[in-house]
Amino acid sequence: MNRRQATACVASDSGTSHRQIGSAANLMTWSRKLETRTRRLLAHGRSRASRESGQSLVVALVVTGALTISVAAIITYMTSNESAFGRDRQADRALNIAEAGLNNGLSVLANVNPNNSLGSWSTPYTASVDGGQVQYSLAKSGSTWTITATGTSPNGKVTRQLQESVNYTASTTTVDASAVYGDGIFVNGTSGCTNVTSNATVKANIWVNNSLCLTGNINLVPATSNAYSLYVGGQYSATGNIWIGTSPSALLSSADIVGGCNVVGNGPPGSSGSSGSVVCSTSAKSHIYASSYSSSPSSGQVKPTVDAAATYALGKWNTPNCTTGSFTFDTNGTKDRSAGSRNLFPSSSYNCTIPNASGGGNIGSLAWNNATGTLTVSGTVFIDGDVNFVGNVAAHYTGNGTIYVNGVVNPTGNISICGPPNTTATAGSKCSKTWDPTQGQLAIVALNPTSQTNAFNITGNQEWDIVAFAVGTVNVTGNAGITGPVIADGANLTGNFGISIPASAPSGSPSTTTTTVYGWKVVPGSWKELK
Amino acid sequence: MSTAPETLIRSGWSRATRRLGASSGQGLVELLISLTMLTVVVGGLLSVLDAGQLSLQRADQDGTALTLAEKQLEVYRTVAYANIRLDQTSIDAIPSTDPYVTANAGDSTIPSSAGQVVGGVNGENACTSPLPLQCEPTQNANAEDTPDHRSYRIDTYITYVTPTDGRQTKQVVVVVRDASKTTLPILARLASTFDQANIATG
Repeated sequence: MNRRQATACVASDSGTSHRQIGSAANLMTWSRKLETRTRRLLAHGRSRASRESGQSLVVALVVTGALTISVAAIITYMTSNESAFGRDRQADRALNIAEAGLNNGLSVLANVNPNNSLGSWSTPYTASVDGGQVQYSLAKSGSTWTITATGTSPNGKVTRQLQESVNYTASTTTVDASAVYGDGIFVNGTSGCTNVTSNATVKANIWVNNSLCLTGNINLVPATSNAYSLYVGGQYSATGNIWIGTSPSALLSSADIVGGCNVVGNGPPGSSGSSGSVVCSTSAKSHIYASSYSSSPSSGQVKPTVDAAATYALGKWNTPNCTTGSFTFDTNGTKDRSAGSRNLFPSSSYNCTIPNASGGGNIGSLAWNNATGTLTVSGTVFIDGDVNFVGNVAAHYTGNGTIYVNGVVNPTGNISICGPPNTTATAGSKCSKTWDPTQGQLAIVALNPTSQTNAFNITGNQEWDIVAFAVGTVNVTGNAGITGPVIADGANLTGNFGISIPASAPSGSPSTTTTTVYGWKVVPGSWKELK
Repeated sequence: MSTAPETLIRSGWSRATRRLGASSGQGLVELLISLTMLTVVVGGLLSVLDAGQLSLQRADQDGTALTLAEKQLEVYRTVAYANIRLDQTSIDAIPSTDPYVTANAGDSTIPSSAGQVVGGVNGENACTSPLPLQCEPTQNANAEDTPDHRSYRIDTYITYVTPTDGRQTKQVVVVVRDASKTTLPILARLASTFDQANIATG
């Protein structure tokens, strides 16, 4: 109600008594005071409200609160990140610990059940790995074993569980074994002695898996230091005037002798009459001079595998194509020694090639010129019988090849087979050790299917510039010698050996070894993570 | 009628109440308080951010170290059993004060540098020059070769371990260290064993 309305209201009551008129005046006065006070109060409120004092504190509180929340969020994030990464690390370690459990399980299976004869294996195992724990167990289902491993992280908070299956299977591996062609003597047998006696000279590596028994005047001295190595899988035994390297100008590169050294009788020169067991590395006693010594067994060299049946199957041996004369390699198309005993150097010449069994081309060729005493060989040649030579013969050969003899090599007489460049040898003479394998090389492989005592048996005044490869023993006596590598299961040798070493295996010769091994193998794709 | 003292008191009281009721100067006080609070909180925030960055960097570094450890362990999963070995000459060349040698004294779960699986012994394949990765007891991962451009050192220990009822296995422990610090602190480590039937033929 404004003043005009209030006046009108009072005027409307003008007809009432004076008392009433007085009350109305008071009311108007009070009303005016109330109005004035209200106006003042509102004005004061507007003034207080319009002032800025205190607002900055409020804003600061709000900002502080927001920042506090941000800090808390960042701390939470950091903590979470640290925690998550810490867990990741633990999880990674737990996974590898579980992986170790799988390998442990496999090692247990291979050890307690090497032939897969067990039907079950219920014992769980625990082991500590990398500060954590792993538990692994084995279970058999059908022919397959399952290994389950649970790895626990070092802090114990993370576990990972892995599983894989393994089978007992045969595996065949073929590896290069041509390193033996770099040896003067390689003997694969592990029992008995490789005997080298009388006046013998070896100028190449020696690798024998059995014992090496030297008697007489033996000389294994490299022309320069570190040229040859010696490996003896058994014991080294020496009696006589024996030099294995000299110090310091002609050391062997290494001498690895597993079974120790034994000097018999007066021992080698310089041993001051020592007899009995000596330390191999004590050169003055053992007379073995090498840059390094060890006594660790090694399988660094293995004898190449000879697969007679597979080699025979390569050619049509009973139907050779001979342009000059004839030579009987085989008579019936069956590997049964049907060729009997063959002489490589008959009184009449021959020149034959052998067709490839699979058709197309030849697997090898063999020719003999009786007038010039020249044997020409290439590729693979298979003679289904023994090879024997009679009388005094001096042949020289050209070419690069391997003759497989399905029997033994047992010549009688003074026969020399000279390698190129020698072309001047005469019957009963030697070749003067001039063979240069880079100009041609011949390997003769005696398969010895009837397991004769000696696969090679060479006596008399002979020199063979060949690689002699024997299934069985090579026996060389008298004043004979094989100047190329001798690769055999056993050897009794005298004379010169390893004088000329081919840079690589002759064409067609055995140069790989195939082994079939039964063992445990992880089933491909069976590895899985359970949790 | 009021006396003179009374008037003086009243006027003094009135002045005091007016001064107290006056708002001039309060804004400055509030501003100071606000700035102090904000300074404290922002300082805390910056500290947290700094710590967070350090934490992330450390996590990043640890992550790279773990990856390097995994990578080294994987090397041994790709080679033949006889190729899981170290080079004795390289081990011998490590100074006796190097953490590779001294780590075992402080943490027995890290193998000793002596008596490890080495090439050319016990039928293990020899380590020939140039040394393959699996033969090197310590390797330096230089900054230019790592994804985070930091330097690391990878230490590898290989020992023979024969589990209960099992045949001999080889245990490989890989420890990755911070090569940027002279103390070479450990950043990550992994270990696993290898049975000869459960690995590649390389």
